[in-house]
Amino acid sequence: MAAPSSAALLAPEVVSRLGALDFIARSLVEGFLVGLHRSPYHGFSVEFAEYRQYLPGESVNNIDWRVYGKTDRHYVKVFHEETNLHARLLLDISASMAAQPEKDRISKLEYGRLLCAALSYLFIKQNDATGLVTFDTMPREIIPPRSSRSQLNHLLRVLHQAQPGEKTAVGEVLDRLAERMWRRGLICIVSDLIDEPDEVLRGLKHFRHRQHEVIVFHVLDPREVDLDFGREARFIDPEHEIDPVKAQPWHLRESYRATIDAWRGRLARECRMHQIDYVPLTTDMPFDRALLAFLNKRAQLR
Amino acid sequence: MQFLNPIFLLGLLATAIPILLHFLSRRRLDEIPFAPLRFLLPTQERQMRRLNLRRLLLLLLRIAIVTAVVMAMARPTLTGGLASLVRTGEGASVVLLVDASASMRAETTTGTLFDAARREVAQIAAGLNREDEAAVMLFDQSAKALFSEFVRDPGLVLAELDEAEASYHGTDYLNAIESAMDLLQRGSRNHREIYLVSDFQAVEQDTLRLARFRERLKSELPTNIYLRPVSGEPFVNRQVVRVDRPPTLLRSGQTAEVGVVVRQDGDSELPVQLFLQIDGTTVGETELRLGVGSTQRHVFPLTLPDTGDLAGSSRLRPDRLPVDDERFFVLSVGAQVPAMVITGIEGLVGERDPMLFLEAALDPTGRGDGNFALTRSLASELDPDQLVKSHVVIGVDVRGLGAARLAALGDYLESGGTMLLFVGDPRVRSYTNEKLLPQWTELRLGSFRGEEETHERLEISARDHPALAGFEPEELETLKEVQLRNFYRLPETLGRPLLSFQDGGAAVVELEVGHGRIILCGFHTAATAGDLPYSPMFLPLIQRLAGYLATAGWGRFGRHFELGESVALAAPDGSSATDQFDVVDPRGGRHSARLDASVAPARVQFEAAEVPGIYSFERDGERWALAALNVPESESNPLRLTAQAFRDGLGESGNARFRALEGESARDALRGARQGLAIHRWFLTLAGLLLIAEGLMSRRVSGSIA
Repeated sequence: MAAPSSAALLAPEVVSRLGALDFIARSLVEGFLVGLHRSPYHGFSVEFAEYRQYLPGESVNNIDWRVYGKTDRHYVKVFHEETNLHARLLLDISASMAAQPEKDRISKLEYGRLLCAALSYLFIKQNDATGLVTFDTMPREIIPPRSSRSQLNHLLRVLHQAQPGEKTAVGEVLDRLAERMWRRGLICIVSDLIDEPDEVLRGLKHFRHRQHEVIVFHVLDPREVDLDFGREARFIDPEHEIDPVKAQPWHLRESYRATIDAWRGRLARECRMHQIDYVPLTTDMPFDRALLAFLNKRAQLR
Repeated sequence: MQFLNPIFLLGLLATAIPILLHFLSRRRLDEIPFAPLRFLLPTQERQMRRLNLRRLLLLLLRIAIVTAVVMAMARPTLTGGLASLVRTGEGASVVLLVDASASMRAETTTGTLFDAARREVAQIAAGLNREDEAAVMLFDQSAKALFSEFVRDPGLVLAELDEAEASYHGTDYLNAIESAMDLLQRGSRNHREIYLVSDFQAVEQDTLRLARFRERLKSELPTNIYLRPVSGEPFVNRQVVRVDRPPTLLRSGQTAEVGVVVRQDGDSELPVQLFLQIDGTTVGETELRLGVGSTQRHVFPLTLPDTGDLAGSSRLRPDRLPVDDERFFVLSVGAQVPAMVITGIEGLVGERDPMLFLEAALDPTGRGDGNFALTRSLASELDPDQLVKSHVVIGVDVRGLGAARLAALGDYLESGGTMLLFVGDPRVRSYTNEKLLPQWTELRLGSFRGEEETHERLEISARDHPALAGFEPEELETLKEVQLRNFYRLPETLGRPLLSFQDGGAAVVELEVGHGRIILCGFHTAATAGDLPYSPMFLPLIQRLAGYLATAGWGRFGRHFELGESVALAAPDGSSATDQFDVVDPRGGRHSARLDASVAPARVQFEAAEVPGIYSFERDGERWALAALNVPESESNPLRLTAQAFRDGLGESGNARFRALEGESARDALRGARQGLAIHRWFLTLAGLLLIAEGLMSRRVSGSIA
């Protein structure tokens, strides 16, 4: 029997059935890392870890010449990585995130919860100080960044207990959070960003203005992207701000897709302009895409 | 606009169905939580406006389809100016077919049904176009055109119709329609129409005749046959159904029993007064109480006054339909009935000889002065000339007939002769089954029951049969005491069983053969068959069976006819072509009759009987016979069909399209019926077009889910 690929193992529907969040987070991250060529755990820092034989092709900068002098062999010093990176995960828990157009896929909130759990694990594993903010119209739970191992459990518990809120005010909340977070760091926003785009962008820019590095994980349900419904239905706003509408989706699909594409295009464009990483995700995508985006960002910060 | 079937307009209620469906389909939608609803809104609003408009259109289309179908079924008709605008302008050949049968003599508050029919015809004629040509036919048993040609001026026809009146004859719708079709062949217009104005009294149709009729209509040009019913107020009909004459020889000075059967079809008990008249004098009178819709038989004892033919009638007080309130009959007193006994049995003696008992029963005194003037003949020596003079033939063993004599016997029966045939002797079985019976019936003798040890009793199967009706109950009980041991069980399904065996199977069966009849007995008349010959009922039974056959009154020896039938009596002995035969009708009118010497025996025929009553037949001015003519019993049938039921009774009828012509005024109904076709087709066409539009529109509304 062929071994399942790591991408298959990271499929959201599979992952969501695994159970305990810490187990999920570990499985996600370890499973993901197995597929990468270079281990990110070994970096350069002050705390010595071990010697290792030099391998041809490596940078000669890292050779310990003193040992070479004594042993006539090339050894490289390996250190435990240390960081002073402050990472904050911002998870949108508004009602729109909890909405499931069809029951065959996990909700955006669930997807965000899993993603945040994986990221937390990854952060803590690298000794990054990691915090979490859940929000809807206002911040609901704020956990300041810490790098201790117990922080992971704390984060996972809060993620696990996060209940969907009511309305959304992404732009406003981001704005307010940016105001409060004075210490520079990495901001990971997990949200469907359903708010006035101008407001959202204003909030994001505010983080940038405060010298934060920002990754936006823009999570949508695939049906919210392509409007793939086969029947006439009443569409309800989960936050009850807009009256329900009846529609025959197949008549609207084309123009709707254009609207959504324009929205996501604008967000991507503006984020690029302000050096914000914009990662469009749908809940049927494996988590590796998000994790890879994060690692790229992390590498830039080194 | 008028509607020929306005009841179908109730179908408009069905328009509620698309409306209901419309609203139900709106309510059934699933709800889907959808976060980026704001992005859906702008296009959705445009689309829903369009969709709602289409839905509304679809709803209207569906309502219109239902309405169009309902309208088509309600048969809308155009009248007045609009009708003349769409009328084709080409005229039609029209036959107005008017029922003039006896039932049309029923009286209503405004005259007879025939008067009503006359008015309907006048209305229909007034509704015809200038381009139309018309002819009028009266029909009963036969059909007769008032003019042999079509005329453009209906007034001419109507004047002629005013002179006509209903007959006393029966009704033959099929013949009437066929005659109208014949007449239409002389018409000069392409459109052909028949207007049948009748009370549509239920008349039993012969299946074979009906099949021929349908076949005939297939070859006809397309013809519209409009059915216009006339009806009066409903009434309770009382009638004399029939008079049973005694099936024995009537002798002067004897007392005979005349049974009169009366009926009423009302729904409450009714007293009726019943009279019996002989030669114009009332000789009996009684009051009966008739139960709900019941039939009752009353027996008048009658002392026979004289030798010769007696003219009698039994009557009730006239009701709304007087034609069936009096029935006429003829009693022939004194004359012996010529009867022939055919036998082939030789060598049997004593009580083993069936002829011994049979001849004793037919001629009890042995002096030849009984009811029957007997001629005896061996089968092998049968004289056909003698045969045709006999009113009844009694056969015991006819094996020696041979082909020619057998054929002569067949002809005799076909033309109205009768035979009492005993087949209880096992030796005649193969001849009977192979030669005799196949000529007339599917009936065959089964296996012979010849157990000497056990006996079987008789049952009475047809107590009301004229041959048995005169027996007293105790006489019938005596008959049931008879024990038979050698006999054939006859199938009960191939004739009318009169007597049966206790353990099943018929003992005596009556069969109709052409115009004549056979009574077949599964036993024979010797002591070996059982104790029947020794029974006190043996003589009366043989006398009644033979007497019934000889005198009951059908075929050429009968004296009783229905009006419309050809009246034929056996000519008196010594008749020649030079004799002058006349018939005096009940009103005293004198008509000449025709001697037909081409058949044996020669007959006197008379076709022109018009009124019910006693007809006197004369030769050279001297009366030699009486005949009674009555109105057909079917004319008393109280069941009137609707035009629809009448049409259903005829079934699929080729190119003839039957339509009910309903409505208050025949004139309006005619205009409606003539235009109804066109306009209801318009609605059907419209419904079809709307259906196509609905199909296209519903595809756009429900959408091909891409």
